[in-house]
Formats: sequence, structure tokens, C-alpha cells
Amino acid sequence: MNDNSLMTNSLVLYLLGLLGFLINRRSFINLLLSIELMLLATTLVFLESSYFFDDLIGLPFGLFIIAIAAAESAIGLGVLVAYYRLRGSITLEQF
Amino acid sequence: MVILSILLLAAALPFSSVFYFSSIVINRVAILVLLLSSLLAFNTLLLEPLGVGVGIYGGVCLVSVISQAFDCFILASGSLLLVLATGILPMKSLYYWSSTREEITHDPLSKLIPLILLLSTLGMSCLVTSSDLVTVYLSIELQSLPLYILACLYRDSEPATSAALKYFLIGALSSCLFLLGSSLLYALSGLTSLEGVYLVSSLGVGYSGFLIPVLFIGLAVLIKLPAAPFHYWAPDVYDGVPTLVTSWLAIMPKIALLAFLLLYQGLSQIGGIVVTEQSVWGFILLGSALLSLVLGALLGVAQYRIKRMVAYSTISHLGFLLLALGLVTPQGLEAYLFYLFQYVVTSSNLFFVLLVYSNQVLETWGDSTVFLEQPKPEKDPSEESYWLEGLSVMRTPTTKPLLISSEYNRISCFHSNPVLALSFAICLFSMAGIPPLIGFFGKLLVLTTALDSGYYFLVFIAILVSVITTGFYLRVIRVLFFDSIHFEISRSTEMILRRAVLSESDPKPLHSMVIATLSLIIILFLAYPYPSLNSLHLIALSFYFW
Repeated sequence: MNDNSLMTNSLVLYLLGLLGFLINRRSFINLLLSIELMLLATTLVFLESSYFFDDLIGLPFGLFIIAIAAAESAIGLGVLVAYYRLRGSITLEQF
Repeated sequence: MVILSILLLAAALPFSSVFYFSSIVINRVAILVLLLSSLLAFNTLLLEPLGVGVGIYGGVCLVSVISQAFDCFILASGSLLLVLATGILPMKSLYYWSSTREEITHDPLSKLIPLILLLSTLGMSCLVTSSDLVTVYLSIELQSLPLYILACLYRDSEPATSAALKYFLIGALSSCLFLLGSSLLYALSGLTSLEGVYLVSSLGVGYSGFLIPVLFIGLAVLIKLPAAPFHYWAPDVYDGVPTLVTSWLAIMPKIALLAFLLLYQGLSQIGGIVVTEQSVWGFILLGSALLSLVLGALLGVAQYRIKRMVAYSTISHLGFLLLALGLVTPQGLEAYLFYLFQYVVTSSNLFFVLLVYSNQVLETWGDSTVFLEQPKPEKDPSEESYWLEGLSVMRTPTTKPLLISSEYNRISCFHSNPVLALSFAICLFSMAGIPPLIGFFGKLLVLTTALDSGYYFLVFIAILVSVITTGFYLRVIRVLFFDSIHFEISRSTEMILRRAVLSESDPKPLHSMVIATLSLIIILFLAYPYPSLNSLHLIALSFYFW
């Protein structure tokens, strides 16, 4: 594995997440998963490039992203629960 | 930065005081905290020592004159908007209408509002000082995560939760885009600090790979502001969430993100492409300004709900702001700052007036027993309209009837409170840009500087568009002042509404004071414009020529 393929892998992951976000029309959980996928793909890019640069800045950035991704998905699930209680389903057909 | 310690105090407050502090006390404390920190930011607004900027915390933050000025402004307007939250009872459902004022005041949820708002204000004030991608990302998230929670505050109302969901998804998408840009930038150059990017790009390495990540970051910010091609979420969200939250969402993040956009444009020079003619970023900015102007005005005409109309007018104002920002001249910056200032003053006044109106209605409904027999909240929420059949205009608690502009006459006609209606009209006129008011000078500055820079087409479009927007502001004014009252709804509701008109529950003294002050600022700006104009001029000059 050279660095290019690693980088390509994570960008492809990001692209998958983005496509999942844009194409998906039904389920909120899928949207949340796609967001997570995008965030983790960027984390991966940061980690790889900090490894290749022998640079320390990318690692804490990756850690921050992971922490914030957790907070974000927690809030998203919280909103989802409120939505579910009212509507009885989590499909997003009326958007 | 001083706000951090004060914020900890505010965080400790609700825990220690669940028993005897009312939410109003906590809210007042938060207002004072924000005012004090705004004063501190104003105190450190020193032209000489700050100069081009002082890096703090190992260079991840950059304190310059303009960032301090924005800091001061954000904190001050935050405290202003917190005043809005003082009298607001968090109506979670119709159930709560039967509960007394005391119960609502001691509701634990309402104590959290100031705290959430403080957190998001902290994020904003960090955002304007940060100059490293790490801090920028963290502070953008810090300012938007509390806003997602805030948007979902009334969790028993369906439009509010679905709007919160939408807001969350768009916000998460834009932060993903931001992260993509910053990760690509890091992978290309090993840099996370904006100054580093500026240095590398000004060395003229000719590394055009910089362009794409830097543009991604800019686009992410444009999505978060609802600038035009990405604006579709804004009307839904602003309309769905309660008015208190709308006021915060529509004003505060906008100031911070616009300030960040300005600093980002200056610091990174967008990869050294701004200074040249025909720059991609300038093209994007001006194109977005054009689209915002046109779409905001044209779609705003078609709206009949007042908050959607406000959202579209916001988008149209954003077009003016982006136009001034895209000029990249000191005069353009000055016009930009002034437009931002007048926009914040005018629209916070607008939201104060709207909220006072909705309070009037809610209070008179709240103690009417006729209405409270009907609700059956355990029904499926989608069938809400049937138990409110008397009120065909009102579907859920958060969509109050007055939010539909043609329904204004029933509750808030000119005769029930002439002064309030008058200040509403002043505020709308100022947004439309009628000459003696402050909004006119904002538009004048932007348009003249754009003319000086030679953007004739854009100026032409902007003038046309401001005529169109005047049309929909005038429609509200017509409804407010001239339409006759006509009831076409059931008798019990009619009685309630008549009572709402007649009983004239006055706005809270604090609210009316703020409305009066802001209206006077809007009117009397003409009389003494020098302090604000001169200080903005100084700030703009210091940004460019220090």
C-alpha cells in the first residue's frame, strides 16, 4: 500500500458517504450513517497525511473530529427520537 | 475568551439552583454576562497594540482589531437577543397552556435556554478570533451544536422537530464539506493554519491544487449561511421553529459566519486567487450574491406566512452583504460592515415586534377555558387540524395564526396597539430601504461602492430587487394598517380573538423598551451618523492598510 492508494481509499469512502447522503430519500438512519462515514473518511485523510508528513498536527485534529462526530450523532439521534415520538415513523417522505 | 470563565459560572447555576431560582433570574445573569464580556472586548479594542493582529494560544487564534470589533458586536447583539428570551414561556404543548405562569417559569427546560445560547455565543466569539483550521472547525461546531438542540426545543411540536431535523442534516453536511476541504488542504500542504496557507500562496509556488480545498471551505460556510444556491433549507427551518429560536438562528450565526468569511478571505487570500482579476472565489461570491438577491426577492413575494417571508428577505439581504464582500476593496468592506450592523439592528427589532405580538395572542388564549376543553394531544399529530377546526389557520401551537400575514388584522391591527404597529412599520420600511431610515444608508453604501468598482449589472439587479422586496414589505404593512377585520371562523374562537384584540395585554416593559430603542436607532441614525460610520471606516482601513 503506498500513500496514494490509502488516500484514494479514504476519498472514495467520503464520496460513498456523500452519495449516500444525496441519493437516499427515505431513512434518517442512513443519512446519519452517511454523515458518520464522511466524517471518518476525513479523519482517515488527516491521520494518513500526518503519518506521511511526520507531522503532529493531524493527529489531534483527527481526535477532535471523532469526538465531535460522536456529539453530532448523539444530537442527531436525540432530534430523531423527538421526531419519532410525534410522527411514529422515521421515514422522511414529507421533506 | 474571558467569557469562558463566566460561562462556567452559568453552567454551574442551573445545577445549584434548581430549587429556588426562576428562569428569569438565570436569563438576566446570562444577559449581564454577555454585556460584560462585550464591554471587555470593547476595552481591548486598541488600534495601536493590536495592529495587524496578535496570535494567541500558540498561533491558533489571531486577535486583530476587526476580530475584536466583531467579538464585541456579537456579544452585544447576543445579549440583546437574550432579552427576547426573558418573557418567553416554553410552550411545549397545549397542555402547558393550562398550567400556571409559576409552573412554566420553573420549568427546567426554560432554564436551559440561556445556557444553550451562551454556549453558542461562545462558539461564535471563538470563530471570529480563530485562525487555524482546527479552531475554526471546533468553534463552528460549538456554535452550531447548541443551535440544533435549540431548534428542537419544543419537542412536542411537529413542525419544530422536523425543522430541527432538517437544520441538523444541512449543518452536518456543511461541516462534512468543511472537513473535506481542510483535510485535502492538510494532505496537500501539511498546513492547518490559515496564515500558513497565505504565506505559501503568496510565495507564488503556483500550486493550483490549493484552490479546490480552499473553495470547499468557503462553500461550506456559504451553505451554513443560507446563501442562494444553497438556501432551500432556510425558509422551512425558520418557519418551523418557534419565533424565539428563529430570531437567534436568523441573526447570530450569520454575523459570526460572515465575519469568518471576511477574515478567511483576507487571511488565506483564497489561495492567492482573490487579488487577481477574474478570481474563481470572487466569481462564486458575486454569483451567489446575484442568485440570493433575485431568488430571495422573487420567492419572497409568493409567501403568505410571515416567517417564511422574513427568511426570504434575509436571503435577499444576504445577497447585498455578499455583493459588498465580493468587491474586496476597503470601501466595500466598510459598506459590508455597515450593512451587517443595520441588518442586525433592524431584524432584531422585527423579531422583537413579532414575538410581542405572538405573546399577546398566547396570553389571551392561555387563560381562556373555552379553548382548553378541545385539545386531545394524545391523538395522532397529523390529525391535529381536526380538533382545531374552529381555527383553520392554526395547525399547531407553534404556528400561531399571526404568522400568516393575512391574518394579522385579527390580532394585531393598528388599533390594538398603534405604537407597536408603527414600530413594526418603521422596521419594515427600513428593511425595504426607504430613505430616512438606516436601511437605506446600508443599501446606498453597498450600491455606490459596487458602482465605483464597476459592477453595473449587479447594481441594476440589486436596485430592481429592492423594489420587489419593497412590494412584499408593503403588503404586510397594508394588512397591518388598512385591512378591515373580518371574522369567518366559529363563534367561540371569534370570542377569543375579539378578547385578544380588546384585552390588549401589553408587551413586557423590557421588550417595549428594547423595541423603542431599536426603532429610535433606526429613525435617528440620520441625525448623528458619525460615530458608527467613522469607527467602521477605521476598522475597514485597519484591515487593509495596517
